[in-house]
Order: sequence, then C-alpha cells, then structure tokens
Amino acid sequence: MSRAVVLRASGLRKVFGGRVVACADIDFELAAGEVVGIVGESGSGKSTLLRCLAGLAAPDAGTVEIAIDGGERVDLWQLDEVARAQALRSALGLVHQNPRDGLKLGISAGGNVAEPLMVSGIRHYGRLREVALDWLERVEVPRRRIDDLPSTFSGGMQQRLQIARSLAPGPRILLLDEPTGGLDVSVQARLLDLLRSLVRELGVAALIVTHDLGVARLLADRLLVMLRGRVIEAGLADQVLDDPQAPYTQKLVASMLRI
Amino acid sequence: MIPNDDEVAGGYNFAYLDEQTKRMVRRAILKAVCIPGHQVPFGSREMPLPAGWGTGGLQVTASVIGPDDVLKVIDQGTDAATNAVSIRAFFRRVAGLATTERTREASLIQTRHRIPETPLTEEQILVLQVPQPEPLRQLVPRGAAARRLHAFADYGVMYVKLYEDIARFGRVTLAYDYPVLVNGRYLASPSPIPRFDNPKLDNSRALSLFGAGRERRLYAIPPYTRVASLDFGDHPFEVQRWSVGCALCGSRASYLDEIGSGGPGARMFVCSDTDYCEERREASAPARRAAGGGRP
Repeated sequence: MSRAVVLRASGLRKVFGGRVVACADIDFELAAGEVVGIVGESGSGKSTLLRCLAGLAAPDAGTVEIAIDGGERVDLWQLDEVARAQALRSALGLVHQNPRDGLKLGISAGGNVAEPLMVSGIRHYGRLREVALDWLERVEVPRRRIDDLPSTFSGGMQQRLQIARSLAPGPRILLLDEPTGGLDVSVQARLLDLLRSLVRELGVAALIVTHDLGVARLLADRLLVMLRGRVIEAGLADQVLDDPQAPYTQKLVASMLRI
Repeated sequence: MIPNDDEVAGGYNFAYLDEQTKRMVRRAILKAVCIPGHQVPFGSREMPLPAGWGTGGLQVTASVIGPDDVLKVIDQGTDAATNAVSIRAFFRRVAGLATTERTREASLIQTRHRIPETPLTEEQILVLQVPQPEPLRQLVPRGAAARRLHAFADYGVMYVKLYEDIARFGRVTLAYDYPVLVNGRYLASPSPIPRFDNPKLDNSRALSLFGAGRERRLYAIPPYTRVASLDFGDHPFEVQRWSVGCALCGSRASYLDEIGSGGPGARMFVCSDTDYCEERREASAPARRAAGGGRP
C-alpha cells in the first residue's frame, strides 16, 4: 500500500498485575483513509490495545507512532505528557462505546462539538457556532437541537453527536470502541451507514474495535483477529471472513448468525 | 490613625503569626510572584476568625506587613463594614499598626469584593481575600484534574462555559469572579470582585496578592503584568455600565451599588467605593466633610 502510514504499533505489550497478559507482540499499521477492524471475544485485549493507542494507558513495551501535523510520525509514549496531550488532541479522535463517556452531559450539543475546537484555540463564537451546526447536520442531528443537552437525546443521537465531537477538530485517525454496542439493529444500520460515508468523505483512517463481525464486514478494509492478547490472524476483511485460516477464526465466523 | 498604647495587646508576636510561619508564607508568596497566576499551596494556620471570612488575606497581610506600613481594609467597597472593621481592629491590636480609610495614604490594602477606584501605585500592595482560588472549580470537580489542565494550559472548558452562556443568554452572565488569563499562561480567579474591576488588574502598578485560607492556596499578580479577561473575538469582554451617575458624587466612572433611600420603593445608585466617593465630594465641596458627610 502506497498511502502514508498514520498509525504504527510495533511490539506492543501490556500486562496487568504482572501476570494477566492483555496485549503481546502487537504489530500493525494503519494507512491514511483505511479502515481496519479489530475483532475478538471479550477479554481478548481489544479495548486495552485501543487504550494504548489512544494515550489512555501506557504500554509496558513497544511503540505507538502517530502522524502529527506536517506528516511526521512521533512515538506517542516517548513524548512528555504535555506534548502527548497536544499530539492526541490534533491527530486523533476517540469514540467510546457509551456516548456518556465521550460526551459532557451537562453542556449543550453545540458546546460538546465546539469544545475540542476551543481547546485547540478557536476564540470566535460565530465561527464555533457555524462549525457546530455544520457537524450536527452531517451526523443527522436536527439543527434546532443545538442548544439542547445531550441527556435529552436518544441513544443513537448521542452516539452520532459523539462522532461529530471526535471528528470536528479534523483528526487523521479515528478510534472507535464498539460504536454500535447498545443500539438497536435499525439504529445500528443507520450509524454504520453514516460512519462509512464520513470516513470515505473525510479520508480519515479508522480503527474499529468490535465483537460484531457484521460491523467488521460492513466497514473494514482489513481485519485483525485477536485472541488472548495476540493477533492470530490478519488480512483483507473479505479474505479473513470468507476463508479463515486460524481455527479460532473459523469458529468465530461459523458462529455468525446468518439471516 | 496610629493606635494608642492601651489599644495594642501584649503577648503576641508582631502581626499575630510567629516568625517561622511568616517565613513560610513569604516563601510561598515569592514563588507565587515568580509564576504569575499559579496557585501555590501553603500551610494555612488557624486564625482568630472563621474560615471564609478572610483568613487567607489575613495571613498574607500578616506576613508581608511591617511596622511602618499603613493598612486599609475594604469589605464590599467600604471601610465601615463588619469584616473591614474587625480586621482593621485586629491589626491595630496585634501589630500596633497605623490604619487609614484613604486609598492614597495606605501602603497595604486588604480587600474583599472590590479594587479601589483610585489607581494604585508602585508603593502599594493589594491583598485580596479569596474564597475559591480554583477558577475551574465549577467545571472540573476534581482538584487533580483541574491542576492537570493548568499544567497543560488547557482552558477549553472555561471557554465552553462562556460559549454556553452566549448560546443561552446572548452574553456572558458572569458578573463577578470573571476568570482572567495572567501573563498569557495561567487561568486565575480574580476573587469575587465585579468584572468591572478586572481591567484594573491589567498592568497594575501595584503588586496583587491573593490568599485563600480554607483552600490553603495563594497566588499573585506582579506589577505590570498582562491580565486578560477571557472572551471571544466576536463577543469581547465588557464591564458593567449604568445609565445614571453616583447620586452622591456624580461619578460616572465608578462601580455603583443600588441602595434603598428612605421611602418605600425609593432607591438610588451610589459609589461602592466609599473613600473614592468621599474624596470626590470633598474636592467639589470642602465644607461637607466638616458637616459629617459620608454614606447616608
């Protein structure tokens, strides 16, 4: 693949309490505009991996390089805390499984979308307002709800608002942790549709952690399958799902409901 | 006014605090002056005054004051309010200090709620009593998280508060304790002064010290330091304005209080800074002070 690599993890390892190996020897690259899915059962280390990539948990070994402004890559965990916060702020968006973790429920929808922009230094109310309205429209939240609190929104709307909030500062990388968890099937479908078009339109690289193979097939270009903290299989999404090699992947694919 | 001998209590160290404590507070003040706007922890002592009544300001004053200083104490703009009277009496008693009600005559001014209208000089120190030194307190409930934001100079949350106000009410509704950015780096609470007083902190000639006794923090704004009130480019910071002048001295440039005046429903606006008001009235009619002028 000739496109620039925006995220590279190599030799990533995270152990809890000296004996629970959550991630070990994880190597992968994420290219600009690419969507990679990470699938695996509960406890396979998906979320821990994501936390290491998102700067929320320090890995015990290995490096996480992300592309910052100007295109150069920096090693996230070698930076000091201030530089790391700054790099993450501008380069990376994170969507939590539960929108309540990613949103501030006490401030309005518009405030939620505009906050990362204010953090990055925009000091013009009219401009913030404009960007917030634009983003609400893009994620299909009615414009008139801009001054309403997210707690008055439905689950699907909250999740879309969270996506708008993470994309508003224009990150190159979007990390999604089970973005469709807790939503009903029809809302899930709409959200996936929206995510797919946004990712294509903006050309951001997305990493989606999910246990739902349907979501993975729909969104991802490539898949990593994790089991007990290791990547046991990697490849193009269709290839992995249609012709799984590892026994675990075969079982996983076989267990998928076909309707 | 210099206290007479029977007013001064024996048995106390000068200015109540022992010398070691004063050194500790002074060290914290030095650090605070070096890092303008940064909150410095200090070992706040029990004072003969309830926490929340100005124990922080009291300790700062006690630590920096000398026998030749002349002290003025302001509460709500006036020297005659309870808190001002008792703190003034306290220092007369334990330090034998001269006190004054005149801003110009004072070398050290301890205040709550107001900064004097009369511009301060390089010779003066302003001590503010601060109930809540953390400007992010209402927005970031955890102290450690707030300190992290200060370390990162990440003040987006404060702008979110301004954004929400403008979205909801069309303007920023903070009337007092309006957050300021000191020297382009630290966000600080100017203590509950009206936002009318915020511009007085910018490039002030006097050293301003802020003490919060209960919260055990102090911070400083050195002389000639940039102090900017937060705002948006298209919603610039504004101070309060009144459609009338002071009913007593006619000033249109000072902060006005609305007070009742006699009859039911009758009210008027007068200067909150009583010394400023009196000085202006004296200047225009010197005879009035002799006749017992002052606040009605």
